Amino acid sequence: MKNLKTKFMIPLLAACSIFAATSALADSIYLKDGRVLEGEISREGDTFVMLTTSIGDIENVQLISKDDINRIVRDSTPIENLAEEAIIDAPEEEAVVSDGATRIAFLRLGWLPEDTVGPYINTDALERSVEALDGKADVLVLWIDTGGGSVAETMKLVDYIEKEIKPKFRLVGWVKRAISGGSFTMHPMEEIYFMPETSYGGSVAFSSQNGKATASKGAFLEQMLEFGELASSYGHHEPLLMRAMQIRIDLSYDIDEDGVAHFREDREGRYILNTDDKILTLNSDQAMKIGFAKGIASTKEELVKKMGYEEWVEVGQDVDAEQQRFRDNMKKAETELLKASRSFQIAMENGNVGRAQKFLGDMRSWSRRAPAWQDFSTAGLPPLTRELFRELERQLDELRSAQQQRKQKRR
Amino acid sequence: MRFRNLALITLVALSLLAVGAIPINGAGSAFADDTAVNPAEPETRDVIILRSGQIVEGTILEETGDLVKIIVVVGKMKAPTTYRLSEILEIQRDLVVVTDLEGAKKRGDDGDGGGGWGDRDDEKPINSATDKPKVYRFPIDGHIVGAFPGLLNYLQRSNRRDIISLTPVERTMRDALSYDPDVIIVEIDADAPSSVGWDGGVVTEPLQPIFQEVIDSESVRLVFWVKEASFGAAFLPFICPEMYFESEAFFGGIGTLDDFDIGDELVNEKQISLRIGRAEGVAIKNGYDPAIIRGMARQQNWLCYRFRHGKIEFLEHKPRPIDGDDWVILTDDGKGEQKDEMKTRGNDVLNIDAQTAMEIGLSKGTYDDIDDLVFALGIRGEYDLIEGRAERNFDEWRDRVENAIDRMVQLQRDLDEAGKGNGRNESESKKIGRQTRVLKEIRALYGTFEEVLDPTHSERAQIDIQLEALKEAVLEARNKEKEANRNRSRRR
Repeated sequence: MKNLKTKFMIPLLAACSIFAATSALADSIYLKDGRVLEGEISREGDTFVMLTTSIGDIENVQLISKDDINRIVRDSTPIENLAEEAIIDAPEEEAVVSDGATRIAFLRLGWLPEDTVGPYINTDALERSVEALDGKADVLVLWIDTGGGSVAETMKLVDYIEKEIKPKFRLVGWVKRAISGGSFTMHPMEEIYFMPETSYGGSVAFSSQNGKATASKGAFLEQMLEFGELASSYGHHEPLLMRAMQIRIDLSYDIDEDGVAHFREDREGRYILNTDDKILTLNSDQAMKIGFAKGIASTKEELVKKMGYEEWVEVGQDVDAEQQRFRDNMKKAETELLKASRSFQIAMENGNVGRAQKFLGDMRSWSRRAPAWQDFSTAGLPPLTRELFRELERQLDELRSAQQQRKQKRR
Repeated sequence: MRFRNLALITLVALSLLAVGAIPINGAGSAFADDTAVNPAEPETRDVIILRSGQIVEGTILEETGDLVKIIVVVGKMKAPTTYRLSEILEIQRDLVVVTDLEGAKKRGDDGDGGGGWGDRDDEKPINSATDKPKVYRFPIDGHIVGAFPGLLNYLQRSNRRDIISLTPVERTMRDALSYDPDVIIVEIDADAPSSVGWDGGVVTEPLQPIFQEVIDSESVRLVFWVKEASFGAAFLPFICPEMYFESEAFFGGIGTLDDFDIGDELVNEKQISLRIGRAEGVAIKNGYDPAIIRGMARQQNWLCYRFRHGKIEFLEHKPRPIDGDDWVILTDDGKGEQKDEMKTRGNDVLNIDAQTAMEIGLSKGTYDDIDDLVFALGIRGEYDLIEGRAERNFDEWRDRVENAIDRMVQLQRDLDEAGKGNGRNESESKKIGRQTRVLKEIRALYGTFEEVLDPTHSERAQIDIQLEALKEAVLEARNKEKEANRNRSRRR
């Protein structure tokens, strides 16, 4: 039998530079504050880890409390190739795929509850992954776990999925949690599988001001409802389903002799799915009953079996690892940006121009390393646009010249 | 393996019974107890074949609705056990027991315990004469507060010190696994801060993966035994497919999602919906009906149930004539005449007792004694009950947290005094230095006890701002001091 050899290239991204290690091989300690320390774990107790790092001939030993550690990735993996430990096996240099085996790539969109659509589930990052997989995978499974995010990015994702991804692969959505923007993101897919614990919906768009959230109204609401219909038409889903996730409507259904659900916007159907005082979030039982989910799967093997493949091979683990690195990078940048912006404000309040300049430089540097923060706001920080930096520079100049004037007056 | 053989023999005998009512042979040895058998009146047993493959023998006491109560007999041991009809594949009554002690001896069975009636052949043998099964008792007794922002203030205000959070649970699980137990019984007698209502469920989230990992590994059987699981704590047992109750157990008392308020009505409905969806997912994953979650979620929600053809049916609104009869109302909307005086004891929110828990498929059985529970779990004969370090782990952690809270109060005072200079004639930079040291100690305490005192890192972020401001202030103070010194030198 002829073997088809697939070569996996590990793409080098600029983002890797933030994890630049002092040595090629390292233990990596991911701290809860977002920092990543690399070196050799020289001793370990129940409550602490001793990490030895070397720069040239100088060795430094750090004692780190396990309370401060998020996770440890142990030795021998070159940091540039680091994948999410325990979740993904290190990618093989070459995979031997027998003739006829279907090549399936699994790409995780979101991993932690705070992985929002926008900074963490991001069209540009997805585009890079899709380009890397083009021609190397027959089927692309997009796995999602998110509580939602930016409306603008959701729209961009839906468009990209429909127009760019669907023509290239058999596209399958596999959902752990697709809430709000997450549900829109999955909706253009025709084949959606759930996990037993999945929740899908709660798709009300809202904005927050002074700690209070207000649902979209008027023209914006109309636009969101149209968008819901568009996403439903892309995925060939009943539009009333998405509508009941967006606004409060009655939704009931009957099931015909072929097992197909027929929906109606009242309570007259045999089964009531939603009432006009509630917003719909589907669970796996409901999704199966109405035929929205094609199946329930807890593992990749179960999923692939339900998709109908007997002979298959997983490809693209390196691409998925890149997505994880992208998220790690964004997280680290978020932590550092918040720290730098706070320090900048304090330095400005204290009239310390030199330190303010330094922290502003740190902010610039982090926004370059994680450019998605130029488009999205994070807790307490607006998008790091050029305009924002210009404004901060202006404030700094103002402070500087005020101080110079005071000095001149004193002289 | 002796017990496997016995199990096989029993299964063969029973499968024959199913077609021809042939008296039990071979398996009779497993019944052997000290009851004299009158050959004229042959001893009989009722046999229940469960859908799980387990086969239970004894005397059926009572059958009500969908429940069957049976005195299970194994060797000399007897224990009352209740099964749901939906769990039962078949009931065979009054089967004649052929006492074959001689045969049992030949097979090496002393007829005293051991020897199963229902072990599937592929099951890991859980009992043997030389190696007793190990049961680890894992008590979760107190107030679950994992990841509860503002806990320091809460603890300073409340008199609750029996807190439960990640560290002692994690340590106890490590201790449990070090014994390589066959079964871990998580004995839950806990509540959570009532002030955080439904979102109090979040307080159990850090604990869930610890149990989930063990359950998913399938290397150890983990079961929950509920004494009390109220407010947020009620969410924890849902992560386990095997829940048992004590007869006086109390479960529920949530129903506060209606009070949820972070925005306008529609935004609140969205938040309520996704929270219910998430909890439903956990319930579904572990074999519980999501209607129970909906009943627990909102005071306005109704939950009624009844049995039809041995199967449970739920109704989630006030029963109407069109819905038929026999509905048992578990929770109503608490409006008008339906309003209860006590939220935690009436049915305005879903409060579930042991009997109801059995009927609605939440509980697999009611046991007040750990021996009875262990017996129901299929462990026959003797077993080792391991108490382990659980109690010590929880007590030590509580002491440490309490000391940390006391120290924190002291440090806050020290910080105030350091800011005032405490009447000492010390330089500004020294004052700032003392403030910095105190703040760093407070920060370190928040870090060490992060899971209870600063789960969202907000306290430390606040301290970082203060430290940064002090750093600036000390630079300024030093500059001023230098300038003052220079001025003094010039004057001299």
